[in-house]
Amino acid sequence: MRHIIAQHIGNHWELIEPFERSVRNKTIEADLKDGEREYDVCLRYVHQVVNDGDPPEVVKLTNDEIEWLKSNPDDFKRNNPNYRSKCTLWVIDSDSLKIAIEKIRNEKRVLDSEYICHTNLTGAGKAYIGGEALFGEDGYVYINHHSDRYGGEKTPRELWEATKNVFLALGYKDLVDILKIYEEYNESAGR
Amino acid sequence: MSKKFIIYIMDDELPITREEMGVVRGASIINMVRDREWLGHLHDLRNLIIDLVNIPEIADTQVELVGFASPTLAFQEIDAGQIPDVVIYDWEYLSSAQSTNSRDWLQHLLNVCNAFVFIYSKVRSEIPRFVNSREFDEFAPRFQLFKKGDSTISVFSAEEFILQYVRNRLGLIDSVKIQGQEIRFEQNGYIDNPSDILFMEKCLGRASVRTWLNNNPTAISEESVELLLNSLNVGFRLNEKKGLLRLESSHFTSQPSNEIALTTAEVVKRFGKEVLDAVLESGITSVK
Repeated sequence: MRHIIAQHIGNHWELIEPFERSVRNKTIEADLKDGEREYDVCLRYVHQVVNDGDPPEVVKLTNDEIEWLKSNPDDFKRNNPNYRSKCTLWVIDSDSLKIAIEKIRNEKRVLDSEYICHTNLTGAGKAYIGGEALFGEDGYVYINHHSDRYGGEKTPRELWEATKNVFLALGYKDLVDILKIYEEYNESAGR
Repeated sequence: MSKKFIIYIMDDELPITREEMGVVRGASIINMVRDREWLGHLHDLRNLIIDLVNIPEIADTQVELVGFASPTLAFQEIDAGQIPDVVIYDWEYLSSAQSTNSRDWLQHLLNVCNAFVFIYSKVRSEIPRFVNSREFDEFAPRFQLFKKGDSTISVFSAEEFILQYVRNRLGLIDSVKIQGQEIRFEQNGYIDNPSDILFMEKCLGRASVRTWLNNNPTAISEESVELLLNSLNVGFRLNEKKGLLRLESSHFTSQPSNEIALTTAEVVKRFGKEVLDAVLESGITSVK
């Protein structure tokens, strides 16, 4: 795993601290809250990817949800009441690609205590990139780089392309880039 | 006649006298906070009770505040039909041999009433081991953990968070207490409720909100919220024909000739704070 990450990402990009790419003026000192750095809360749910595979207790998108996502990813994310219960978080650090369901109770968090965040997967350490993955009943994995801590709009395009190559190299051959769906939606909107 | 709103405070270190037999209410609570000696680490709880006592509806007897030295006394009151709406539940009970008693009492409390429970502790770290267990799953929406005097959770301290929760439940949103300051809340075009400061913190980062508070706004008003929102140095582009709003810096294909620039405040004023959150998250979002 390490060599795959190094080959595609590590030899070209630096590890970043949480929030380093945030557009929201956030910092570790001010915005990393209680309960957001503990790895043990998600320990038994983490899938350290060696070759493909589903994270424990993942709930998959139905075919109807997949159609919804493909036709309007923005509306799907904002208005699907099941979004967060089906969403998984992923991060790539120097060791591995880790994926876990987002809906893991974390009572140490005062706000949003039904969910973990990306820094739980890293112990608030450094990572190359993070985002969300949705596993579909169609066998595809749908990924984006939506992460206030390790992803977001400041993520270089080339890093995102390299990230997809890591997923592919680690066995996720049926991979869909949600950002491409957004782009297609952007281009077709208003017609 | 509408039902009285009842708040229980359960803490064996409340300075309740023997004559009061473990329960204080009404004028006794006022005497307790005003005239008696409190242990040092209860300073923040005492101030919270003072703030609660000063809620006008308590003087009107629409709201009742009751203090208990032990959970079993509170359970007797509940059995007698005095069902609380909010409970501030001290985690450590000196008489309990193990913290499993605290856990069992908490579970019983959650079972016998629908109150929202603030689990309030000197030492917060040991609690999640119990309340993260499956037996508390069904109750998760009804309790919140706080460390006494904690000022790291948000711009609200633990006690200010509890106070604001009670005020919200009572519909009292004309002011808010943050970082020790009482700030007037005025109707504005940006946020509907002073608790939305938490949303601002999520969207803009805590440092932005702290800087704004350090400038001592006299009120959460149209002008002051606009200043806060525009402290986020991010530009937005609106394509009205497509009904899409994007971050100026986003990678999405743009049509500059069909787009207008918006500030953060303009985004919130036109489309609401949830749209701001969505576009910051995804880089692009649809708007009506």
